[in-house]
Order: sequence, then structure tokens, then C-alpha cells
Amino acid sequence: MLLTRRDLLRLGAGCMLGVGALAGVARVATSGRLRPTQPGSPGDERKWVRRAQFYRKLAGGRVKCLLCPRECEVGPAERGFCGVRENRDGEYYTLVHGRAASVNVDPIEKKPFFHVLPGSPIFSFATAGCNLACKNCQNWQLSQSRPEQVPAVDLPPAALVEACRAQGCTLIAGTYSEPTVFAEYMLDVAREGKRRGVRTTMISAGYISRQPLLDLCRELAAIKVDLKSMRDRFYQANCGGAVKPVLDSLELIKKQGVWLEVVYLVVPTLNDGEPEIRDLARWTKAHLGVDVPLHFSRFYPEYRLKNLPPTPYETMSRCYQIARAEGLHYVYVGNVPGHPGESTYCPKCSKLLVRRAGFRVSEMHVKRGRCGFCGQAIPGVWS
Amino acid sequence: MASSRGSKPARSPQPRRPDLTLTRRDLLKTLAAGGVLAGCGVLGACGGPRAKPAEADQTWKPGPPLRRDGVVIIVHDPRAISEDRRVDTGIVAGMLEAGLARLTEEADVTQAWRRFFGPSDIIGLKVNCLGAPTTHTHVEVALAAAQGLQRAGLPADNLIIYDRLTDELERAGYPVNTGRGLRCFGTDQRGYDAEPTAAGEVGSCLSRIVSEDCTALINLPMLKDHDVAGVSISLKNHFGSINNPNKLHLNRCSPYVSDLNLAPAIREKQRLVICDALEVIYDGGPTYRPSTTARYGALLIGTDPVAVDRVGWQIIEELRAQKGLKSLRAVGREPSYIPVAGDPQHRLGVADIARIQRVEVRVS
Repeated sequence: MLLTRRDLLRLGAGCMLGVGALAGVARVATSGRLRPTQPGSPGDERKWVRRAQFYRKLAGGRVKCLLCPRECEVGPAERGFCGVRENRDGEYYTLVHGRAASVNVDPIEKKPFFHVLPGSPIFSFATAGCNLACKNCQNWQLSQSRPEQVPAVDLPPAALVEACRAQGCTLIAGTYSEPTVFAEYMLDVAREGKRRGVRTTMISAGYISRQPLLDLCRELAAIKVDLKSMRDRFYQANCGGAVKPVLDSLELIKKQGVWLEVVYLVVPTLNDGEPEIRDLARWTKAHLGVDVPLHFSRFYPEYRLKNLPPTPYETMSRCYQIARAEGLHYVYVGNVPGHPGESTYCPKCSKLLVRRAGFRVSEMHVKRGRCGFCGQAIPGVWS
Repeated sequence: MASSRGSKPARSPQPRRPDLTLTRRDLLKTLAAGGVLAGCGVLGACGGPRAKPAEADQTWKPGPPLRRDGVVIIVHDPRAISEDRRVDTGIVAGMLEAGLARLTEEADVTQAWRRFFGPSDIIGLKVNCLGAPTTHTHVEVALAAAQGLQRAGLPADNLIIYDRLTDELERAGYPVNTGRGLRCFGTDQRGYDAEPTAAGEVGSCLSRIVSEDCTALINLPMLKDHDVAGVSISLKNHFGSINNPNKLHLNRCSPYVSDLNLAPAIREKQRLVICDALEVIYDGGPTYRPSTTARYGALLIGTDPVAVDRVGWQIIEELRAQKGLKSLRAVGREPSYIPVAGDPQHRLGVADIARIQRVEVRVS
């Protein structure tokens, strides 16, 4: 791993207009022609502009974006909430097709996917922009920026897949910001990856409309969704969204047969109440089934929620216990090194199947998708 | 829809005021001769405060900046802009002087400018070029302010005309310059704060031009209808001073516009609003639409951004009524952020139209 996401973001935070922030990208990609571009150069930007796939024209030169439940109505020369889609003369365009603002090779446990090829490296990329505005976003320098505000490299789908293969990866993740806002890029990467034996995944908040999600489900091998809360008031106050569309997305992904894992960031005082955690576990069981992994992730103060403390260890353990008690088979605890909830256990014989410490896998006892001790089928993508 | 006539800012064919020492044409020539007109090619070459010049007027003892809450001066001169959208530089400069004289009650325009600024101030002039090249704060208005400040004793080095993007400024016809003299560039050349500023519901990274370079601001919006916010005037103009305006358009931009103006770097530095109402887009904004753009021939001047916006809104409603259009409220676009800006939680100025003194000054 040549440049961590944290390194990149730190560099980017210190120099949002600098070209040094993507120094690692050129090393990740081996083509030798990737050079971070200086923001604000219109000549550089044209190659990343593509007609958007999900929108409808309205009267008066306006357009209605159909990519996410926000359904922005955008006037001429204006952009949607995400900041990466623009109305140009009555047509809607994405400005970030191939405009990679962050590229890294990560361990797959960092996404986190715990039931997808544990221990694998995953080629991870993102563009600027997000269709939510979470006050606790840990990647806000990327997600809350417009494309011209952050350095980027030209990494069209074919070049991205090539860079992935050159790094010895067989997995790609659209991640860090919100792949929904670069859906066309995501789709083209996934299609190109399929042609070349590379599987593509998406790390998303699930705030996406039905049709683009269906299109993505046809191409993707796995999706991880950040469910931020079970309460609308949390979404409204902290994210600028709503919970119902996210729950709908989760059900749709499950029905489409795409491998799904769910992450719930436990934010002290805001979404950590026992009734809410119980609601989460019960809803997951009823609508997604007991075999969908549910990750509780520990909050650290970031961005606009620096006034809150990190989630206490006890709270994380309590969430874990509630979800297990409700009958979910695969409950995990993240960002708490050493917690037993980092590892995978067989729901039948209770033996430890995958031992993890942080992002490292030290034991692996899943054999051909089954428990190596009792033969119980363990759902996931294992080969 | 867009007219190409506005693609290059018009110049006065015959400036009315012989004592206007530096016309836009002169300025362009001067900058070109100095080799500094060539755009911002080098990252980091621009921005940053300049040293106080040695020749600063030692007799200039600035007091607290003048504030006139609830007062809006509207200076009219129909000759300021022609049927073919040519702007008369001299007339605009005269309108600005007349307005400042009325606002400050100073007969001497030098003293009028000095009521707002001190000799060591670094002043950011926030124009609005989002709709360039067809609609934007007219270059002549911004340059009239810059020239007035220089005549009042502020060195050109201490003035920065800025907006979000250098490219937008260029498209509007502004003389982009990152070198010596009157500077003009976008935040893309300077960057945004590394950390967001929290103000009410807003969490935005401010342009470093605002947060670091400037000690004072002049807000130079244009007067236009806005399809989301209702109107876009001075309060909303600062959406061009932050990194994430796209996040702040929910609920017709309320309370986001008002909250943003609570940010100390904006609230404490902004001294003056000069709203370009030479043309007014009274429907179909914020982009230019010839059929709903009126040649209004006015400048709105004040220190109270809420009052300026409230009067600007009133003017748009007047024009809409004259043209047989429904009010903004009737079409569901009432700019509710303006009353919010005047409420007890914000106290950014006077929003109650009954308490605003609308002073009409006719130059011609």
C-alpha cells in the first residue's frame, strides 16, 4: 500500500488546491501518464464531462435529477446538491467521469467487507462530491467539495481497471465519498472490470433512487451500505436526508442477490440509544435476514461533530450484544482494536472462523464457503 | 436564450466625467503594459496581504466604520446603461459618488470612503460572476469602487476583486491580475480554509481571500431573481465566498443564507454593499433572460445588507407587478431568508420594510 487514504486526506486538507495531494496516485497507477491536475483549469475539465444518465428535462431549461431521492431541480448553469452535476443549456452532465480524486490500495477489511475475500487488497477510488452532508463525515474534504476544488487524475474506466490489475488486485471499490454521485463512472468501471476479470464493489450511504441502483446491482459484486440511523430526525439534522430511501435501497440490494453488508456508525447521544439499536437489529433480521453482516463502527470526532467524544467501548459492546441477542448471525465491531467483535464466528458451532486484528486477518477457517469445523454454510464471496 | 451582446463588458464611448483619472480601458492598458494581465498561471503566486505602503496618508485617522442600519440609498441614472447594454463608466462613477455622499452625509467623496475604511485595510470586493458572460456585476461598477478607494488614498495593492472562479471573472471581462496593483482573481487561485467555519446550520470553508487576506469587504452583488432562493442579492452573494454552496439550497436557502452571513469573517469585515441594479433580472434568474431583464439604471448602496436585500426584493416585486407577473410569494419563491436575517437570532440588519429608509437619488 503506497499511500493511505488518511495520508492522502491529510495532504489534501493541508493543500486543497495543491497538486501534491495526489502524489501517490501516479505511483499507484503504473501507466506512467497519470499526473494530478491542477484544479480550476477548464481545459482539463472537459474530458470528464459526460451526459448524465438519470435525469429528466423540465420547462424553462431546467432539469430534474433522478439519481437520488433528493431529485434536485436544477436551473441552467447550476448544479445539484452533490456539486458534481451541472445543467448546461438544459441538459444535465456529470463532471466527474474519470476524474479520480482519491486512489489507493486498501485492505478489504477497511471498507469494511468481512465476507468478501478476507485479506484481499482492493483498489479503491473516488471522485469529489456527495449527495448527503453528514456532519460527522470523515472524508469531508473530498465528499463536501466540488470537483474543481480538489486535485484529480484522469483515470477513465479502462485505465482504472488496468491500474488495478497492475497492482495485483482483483477487486475494485468505489468508496470514500459517495459512488452514487459518480454512478455513470462506477457503472463503466464495473463493466470494464467484468470484461477483464475484476470484480467491482461500492461503499455507499444507500441514498439512491431505484433505477440507478438496479443498474448498479447488475454490475456489482458487493455493496456495503452505511445506514446512519433508524430515525428520520437523525438523517434530517445530521445528513440532510431521510431514512426511508436507505431502507428501501437495502431491501432492493438484498432482493437483487448482490452481496450486502451494513455498517452503522454509533454516534454518542445521537443514534446510540438502546431502542434504536434494537430497532436496527430487528429491522435487519426481518427485512434482510439474519445472515447479512451488521457492523457497528466506532465514531471519532470529525468535521462538524468535534464536540462529541469517541464512542465508549461499553456502548460498542452493548450494540454488539443487542444485535446478537436479536438473532443476527454476523455482528461486528469496528474501530475498536482487540474487540472480539472484529472476528467471524460460526453461527452453528460458534468456533472462530476468521480472526481479525484491525485490518489484518490472522486466521482463516472458512473453506469453500463453509465452516472449516462443522461444515455450516457461511454466506459471502469466498472465491 | 443567452445574448452574446454581453459577452464583453461594454465601455463608455464617451465618459462623462473628465476627472475620472483611471477608466477601465486605462486600467487594462496599464496592467497589460506591466505584464500582469496574463492570468493566474502559478499556484500560490497570488493572494496574501500586502505591506502598508510608505506613502499612506498620515492624516487619515480612521474611526469605527460607519453603520447606517435600515438605510438604503438608490441612485438612479437611466443614462448609465444603454439599450444595447453599454455601460457608461463615468456616469456609474458619478452615481457611486452621489450615493456615498448621501449615505455618509459627506460632501467630499474622499472623506465618504474613509468613513468605512482605514489606510491599511486590505479590501476584498466580492462581485458576482456566476452568470458570466451574459450577466454579472458590471466591471464598470467594481472598477468605479476600486478607483474611488484609490482616490481616497488606498493603494491599489490593497484591493482584491474576487469571486469563486478566475475563469468566471475572465468571462465577465474582469482584468485578472495576481501581480502588483489592483488584484483580481478567484478563490481557485487562493484556496479555502482547511477547516470549516460553523455558523448556525452552515459548515463551510471560507475563501482564504475572505478569512486571511482581507481586513474589510465590499459586497458588490447584482440584483436578480433566483429560481430557488427567490432573489439573489448581497446576502446570497457570499455563497461565492465558500466551498460548498450546493449544500445550502435546501428550503429555498433558508436559513443557510442568513446563517452564512453570521460567520465572523463575513459579518465583521463587511463594511459596505454596492448592489449593481443597472440591469435587474426580475424573473427567470439567476441566468440572463433578455425578456425578463429590465434596464433599471440604479445602484443600491448601504451598510445594512439585510435592508439592501429587502429593498432589492421590493424592486423585483415592483418590476414583476409592472410586467403582470405574480409576486414571488404567489409563485412559491418568497425569499424567506431575508426576514430570517433580520430576526433576533441573526440581527444582521433591518428586514422590516416599514422600518427601512429607502432614499431615492436621481443624478440625471
